[in-house]
Amino acid sequence: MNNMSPEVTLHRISPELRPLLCSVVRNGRVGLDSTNCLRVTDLKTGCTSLTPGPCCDRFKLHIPYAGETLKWDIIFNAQYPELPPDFIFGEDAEFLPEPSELPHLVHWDAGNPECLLQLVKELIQQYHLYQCQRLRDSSRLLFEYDSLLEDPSYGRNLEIYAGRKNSWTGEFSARFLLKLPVDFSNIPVYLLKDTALDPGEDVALLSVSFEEAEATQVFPKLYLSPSIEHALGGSSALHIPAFPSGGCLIDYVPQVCQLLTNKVQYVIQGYHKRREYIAAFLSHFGTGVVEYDAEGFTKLTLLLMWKDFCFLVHVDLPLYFPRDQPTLTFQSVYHFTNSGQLYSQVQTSYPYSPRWDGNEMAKRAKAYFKSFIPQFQEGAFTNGKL
Amino acid sequence: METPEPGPADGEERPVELRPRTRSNPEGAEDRRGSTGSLGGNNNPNISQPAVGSRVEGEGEASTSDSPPSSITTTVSVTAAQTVAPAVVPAAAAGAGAAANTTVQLSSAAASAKERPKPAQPTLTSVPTPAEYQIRVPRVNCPEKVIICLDLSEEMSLPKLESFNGSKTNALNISQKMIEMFVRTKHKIDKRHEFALVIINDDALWLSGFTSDPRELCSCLYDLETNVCESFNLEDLLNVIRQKIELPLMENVQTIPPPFVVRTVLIYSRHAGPLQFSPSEAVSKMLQSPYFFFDVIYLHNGLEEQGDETSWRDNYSSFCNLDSKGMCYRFEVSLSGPAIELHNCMAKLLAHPLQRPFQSHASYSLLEGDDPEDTVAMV
Repeated sequence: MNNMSPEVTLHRISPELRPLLCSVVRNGRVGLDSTNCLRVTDLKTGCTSLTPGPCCDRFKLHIPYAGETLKWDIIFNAQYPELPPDFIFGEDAEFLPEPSELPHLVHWDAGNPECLLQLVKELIQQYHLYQCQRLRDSSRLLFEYDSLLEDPSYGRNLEIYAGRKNSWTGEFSARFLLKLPVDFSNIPVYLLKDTALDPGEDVALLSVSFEEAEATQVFPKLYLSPSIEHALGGSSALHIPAFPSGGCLIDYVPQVCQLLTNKVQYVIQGYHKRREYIAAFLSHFGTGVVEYDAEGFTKLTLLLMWKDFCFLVHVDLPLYFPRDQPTLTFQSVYHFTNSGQLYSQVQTSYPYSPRWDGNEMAKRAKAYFKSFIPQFQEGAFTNGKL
Repeated sequence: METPEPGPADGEERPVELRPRTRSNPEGAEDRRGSTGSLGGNNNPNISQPAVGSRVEGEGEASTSDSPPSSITTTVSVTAAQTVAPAVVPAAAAGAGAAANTTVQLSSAAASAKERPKPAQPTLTSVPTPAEYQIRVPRVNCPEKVIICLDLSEEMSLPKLESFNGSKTNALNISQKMIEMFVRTKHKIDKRHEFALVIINDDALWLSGFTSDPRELCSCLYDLETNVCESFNLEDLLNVIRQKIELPLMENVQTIPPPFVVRTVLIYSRHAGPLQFSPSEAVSKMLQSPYFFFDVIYLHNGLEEQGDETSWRDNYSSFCNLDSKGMCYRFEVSLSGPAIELHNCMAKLLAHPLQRPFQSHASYSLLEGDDPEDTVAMV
């Protein structure tokens, strides 16, 4: 009984329990990775088979945590729906949270639809603390944890999973999941809105896996929410430096944050620079403008005439402009190629410097057009089909 | 718009007298002399001529840098995205500000100018338009729905145009090639643009579209035949179009960009009598919409038959008068002239109607002239 949609779940659960479960399946995002929701499977009932349905009162809740998925059994009693549920914490038989740390259990209110969700959140907090305790088995990893904790921008956004890989030898592994304190709020909106995926919250998560207790095998991995990944240029945005051997998180994590912040800055700057470039080109060539991207300033097409010969210049501005040079595509309005396409020629290495301002780029472009057009025209008449 | 005279129909900058030389009239928005036909006395009564400088200055008009007295000013706007960084001051446009407008003022190459000392920073000028003039739609490159209307009257197949190699060719032949160039180029610039093809004999027939695939349109373009046609029924054409489109209705025309605009490009060549046109209310409404454009290329034989000279100019003026907003492009080209003129007109029609300059301000020979006296951007 896997992967039930929320609607099916809600349909089958006992009516008195439905509101509680509703908050969980509809709004249930807990933890750092808000792109993954809580899921419910294995819906069962403790009632006799003579009881008329729907009467399911127990299920497995899948909770994303520190890159793992916890599977907790939550057991209500349909005949006494006002009572709080029991929990079985998967294989973590040693996880015994203090009830006094669980206010929503102590003051369980079956009439409050948020009660179960809040209780789950409190349990996860306790689970996190429990996992941190287990780090004591490795002084090295405990050190990593403690040093991160000292910095509130990391310490408060941390999920730790400390598993015993091999209980024979006591081999130990752990995973740290951090939400990185990178500010994405200034990324131009047009870069974010085109993803077909649900944007959700814009997050960057760093997952660091320690394959053994002495931290000699460390594997970091970066996760970005889909719209951020797209805005920063796609999957290349996920490249991060390898974890330095002998290094520690408190040095490494800020490096990754800085790398991301720099990328964000490039993208923001690129947007403003492109805007300046287009404004300058419109200033110089605006009376012949055909079209330009008025939102992201990524492209511009001009119609120019040289001795009665009309030609188009398509300018494409890359994401990391001005570091990356714009592409110029010259097109004849009269000619086609032999295969029936528009006759055009692409230039990617004309005189250019990223240090020029927009106005200078426009002036130099004009000079370049003047020098290039005669040969372009000749090429068009020689090689193109009228 | 093109003043109907012999010579290059390329919208070359006219001398100073057509546009007042002040910064307060950046786009010649109030200068309607350029928009109506200067011949035939068919002045559109809706358009009045304000005194230069009577326009209210925008509050945000930034720099007060001096304009050299002989300069001609044109305003080109760069519409910023909605969440533009705070460096740009939003214009006090009417309605809840959505798109901010950035204006960069510039002088044409013909002006003597001083070197601009700093890089062009986009600054803001709100461009309030008095109520009796058209409301300016934000200059966004929204998708276009272009309806290409091709006249298939007999004149289109007369071999009078002079092609590149000196041989004679007909207007239909050139039209087919330039339409193909047009749709392929528009598609290359933005794949969201859509196209339709209407052919006009005695009636207008919607042949294809809307489609965003240029090949689909081009497949209908060839295998067309001309025939002798009676008078041109403009109302019929506009009705055919009206039935196929639905124009956007935006709450605030000045600040909210439309999801698309509709543009008709009419390639017209017949000379059968004057244009009879009394538009119905629905058609008038369509013509008045700020999101509808009616561009025309008029192929005439005016140079040959002096006796008919008045009549083609009359027809041409009638087309011009359809454009009450001053936003449309019109070209007149001689059927017995060089074919390159026709190609060039179509190239000029590539420009997006919301981003192209007024036709009288359009200029393409920007590579002429020496660099030092090139453009001055006044910001």
